[in-house]
Amino acid sequence: MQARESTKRATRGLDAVFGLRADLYRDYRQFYGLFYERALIPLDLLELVRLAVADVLCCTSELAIRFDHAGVPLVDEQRVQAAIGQADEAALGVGERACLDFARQFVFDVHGVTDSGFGAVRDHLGVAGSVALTEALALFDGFMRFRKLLGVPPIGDGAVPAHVEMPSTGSETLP
Amino acid sequence: MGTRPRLPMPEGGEGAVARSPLGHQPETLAAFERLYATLWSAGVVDPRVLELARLRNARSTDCGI
Repeated sequence: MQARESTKRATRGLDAVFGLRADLYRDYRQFYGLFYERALIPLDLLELVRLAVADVLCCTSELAIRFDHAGVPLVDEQRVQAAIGQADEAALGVGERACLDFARQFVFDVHGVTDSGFGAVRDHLGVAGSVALTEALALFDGFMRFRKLLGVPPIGDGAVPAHVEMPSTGSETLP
Repeated sequence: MGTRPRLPMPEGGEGAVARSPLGHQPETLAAFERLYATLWSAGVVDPRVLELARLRNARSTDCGI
């Protein structure tokens, strides 16, 4: 019986590990999905920030994911490469760059965030948006460390990013 | 890091957390509170261990709040 149940368990992605605590994982998916479903900040910016954090933390299982909306990538690959320092940042807007700088500093050392740095974020996103971005950063940073520490296996082969429909509060699985 | 609040506090809301900057996003606050409550109430880790980890983390990140 136990062996049969274990064969049903996911073996890739966050499901493979977080799925071991079904109640916590359910609440986590609902929390995480809100940022996408409600577009609490622009979805392309959310995607850029997610990947920039993954880059800082060298989180390969996260870097191997690209979120789509209705089959269309949230961000084109050129802008992704700009966000992770592999292409010219000219592809990004001034406000986006301010948010990415803030995101990287948040991960490196939150005490290094300056008033002017956060002010640029607030100017770009407004008060509620800057709260949403900071919450999203806390989620991304914390759970990418979770992925790395617990060895969450990437959903694909890792060589080519896997495109996955973006999360929602009703998502029953996450990559 | 600055010591002045970087955002205005929201008006209304019940409880200290709802009147903090988190109150500007009530839906995410509610979702976070559900997750946090599950962690504390339905977990397999002894709450005393969780509390020690919480406080150690607060100290490591110099979070006086």
